[in-house]
Amino acid sequence: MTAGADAVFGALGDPTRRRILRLVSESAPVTATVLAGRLPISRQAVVKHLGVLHGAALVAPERVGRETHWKPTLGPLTHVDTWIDDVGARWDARLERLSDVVSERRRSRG
Amino acid sequence: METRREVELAATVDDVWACVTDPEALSAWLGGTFDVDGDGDSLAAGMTATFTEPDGAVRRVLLEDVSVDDRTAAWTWWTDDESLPPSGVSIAVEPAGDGADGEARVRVVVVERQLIVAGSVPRAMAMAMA
Repeated sequence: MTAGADAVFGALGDPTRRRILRLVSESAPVTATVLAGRLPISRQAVVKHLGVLHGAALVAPERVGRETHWKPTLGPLTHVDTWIDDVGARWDARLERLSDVVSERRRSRG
Repeated sequence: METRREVELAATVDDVWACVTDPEALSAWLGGTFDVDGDGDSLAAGMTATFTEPDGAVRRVLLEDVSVDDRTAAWTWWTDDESLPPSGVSIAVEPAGDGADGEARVRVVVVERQLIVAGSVPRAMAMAMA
């Protein structure tokens, strides 16, 4: 039941899989064939990547007739509306501190 | 869904890049504690790390790209308390010419992009980190 941290790291460690995860969350439920049409890789390769993501419990399959539909496994909803403002504000504060850190380093070096 | 921020600093590209790759400097300006797993005094691609926010929230960090040549770094991070969806951060440090004072200027561009567009943390991630 619990996917280990290693499985999650392993699944997210590949750029194609991150892209697939994003596509699945954008267009769920979605089939491997549709995903392959939007990626420069074969359907077979997509199925393989979905298997790894499934192994880390990041996506889940659902049989619909003869097709397998994929969707992300979702936890409790977060406040999507405030995401951009919240994340942007965090980076504003961080970049302000970066400016301080850089000038401090210059000063201490003389 | 993504957000982009940039800032210009009076500094050399090397100075600012050092602040991105040195965990101690990174901790200072990210505002928290950036702990690289295992040995290593500089960020490198493939590393994992933990970033602890001042409020105690813990993010797991997966360093995807650290390119000294391009002076770009990218990581994916997510919180273990489901407070923030997993997202990808990319940082680019680039020369921005000379300021009016003749001093070199550097532009730092940060883009943070949500990985799970639905705005939710996969349950497995939260469980794996619990």
